Amino acid sequence: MNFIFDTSSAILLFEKCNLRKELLKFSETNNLYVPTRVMEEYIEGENVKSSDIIEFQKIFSVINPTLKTILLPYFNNEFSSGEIWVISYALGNPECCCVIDEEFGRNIATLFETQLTGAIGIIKELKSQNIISDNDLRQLKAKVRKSGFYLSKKLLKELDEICSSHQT
Amino acid sequence: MPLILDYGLDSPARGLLILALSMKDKEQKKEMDILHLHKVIRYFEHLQDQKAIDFSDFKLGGVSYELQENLETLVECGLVEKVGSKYVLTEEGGKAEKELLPKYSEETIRKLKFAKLQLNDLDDNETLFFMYMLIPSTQKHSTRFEELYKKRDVYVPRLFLKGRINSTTAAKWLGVDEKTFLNSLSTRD
Repeated sequence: MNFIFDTSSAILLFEKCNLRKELLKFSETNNLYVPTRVMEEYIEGENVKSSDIIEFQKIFSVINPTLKTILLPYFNNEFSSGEIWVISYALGNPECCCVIDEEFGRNIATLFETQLTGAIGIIKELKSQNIISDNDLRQLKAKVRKSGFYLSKKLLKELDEICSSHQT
Repeated sequence: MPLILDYGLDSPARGLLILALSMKDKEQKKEMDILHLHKVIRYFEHLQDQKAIDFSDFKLGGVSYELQENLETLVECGLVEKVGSKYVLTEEGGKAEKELLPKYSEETIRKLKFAKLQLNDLDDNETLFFMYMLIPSTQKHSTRFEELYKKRDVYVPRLFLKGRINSTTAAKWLGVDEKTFLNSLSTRD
């Protein structure tokens, strides 16, 4: 399966949840992409070290999609956000699934009928493929909450559900 | 196509009013009040980057006498009905919608659908704030903009959380960087 990640989803999984080794394993059987713009946004982030960037690039292949101008009006003619590049790629590559967590980007992806999941959907995949360890799954929720990273109540609830279904 | 000819639905205002009323919003509702009808079609025109309908920047931002007159005509013709403060399509209006749909491109329909999904379930203040910020020229003669803008710290996060703007736009409208905006959400959620 091919996945293309928006910035917040990639940062949540890679940085805040620290699922680096799990994502690396996942990338052995799936193609994980980020558009150049998402890579730039990741690098612009707080305290990103060169070793982090190297690890990030081991997991995610950085690609430079062609901007689909049909999307521009929906983004008020701006193309600085990661999701317009993610959706652009998915429109040209329908087999690829967008990984977007921000509601606005998800709405646009839905409007254009691209495949869509979010960071929680990837965690579910990691779980179903037995890539994520029991210990990591137990700690995941606390890790996300502690990170202070914004996640909607809906996504937090979904995360709770994955963690609880594991515990029962 | 008798209905299109009988009721002059080839006029952009009438056609768009019928189509907008036929679409569902975020809450799966089709009915629209007068403010949302004007704003959804203004937003659609902004997305289309066209001026098929005459809008003026008035007290409540972009509004259209042309749209208003055509809406009244559609009510008189029995294609649209006013129920309380909301407008809905009648059965005849539904038939007109089916005739109209093939006349519009997929992308045009998508933009109108998007405009309705974006606005119709927002309350009046959220809708006005969103439109003033999206199309700054509509602030010019507004009697509401200043008051709403003072409350931008309330409206911007609300619009973001409802998925109507992304974090880039939210940060821009608040005059902060994206990280500051997202951090402010994580501490309140």
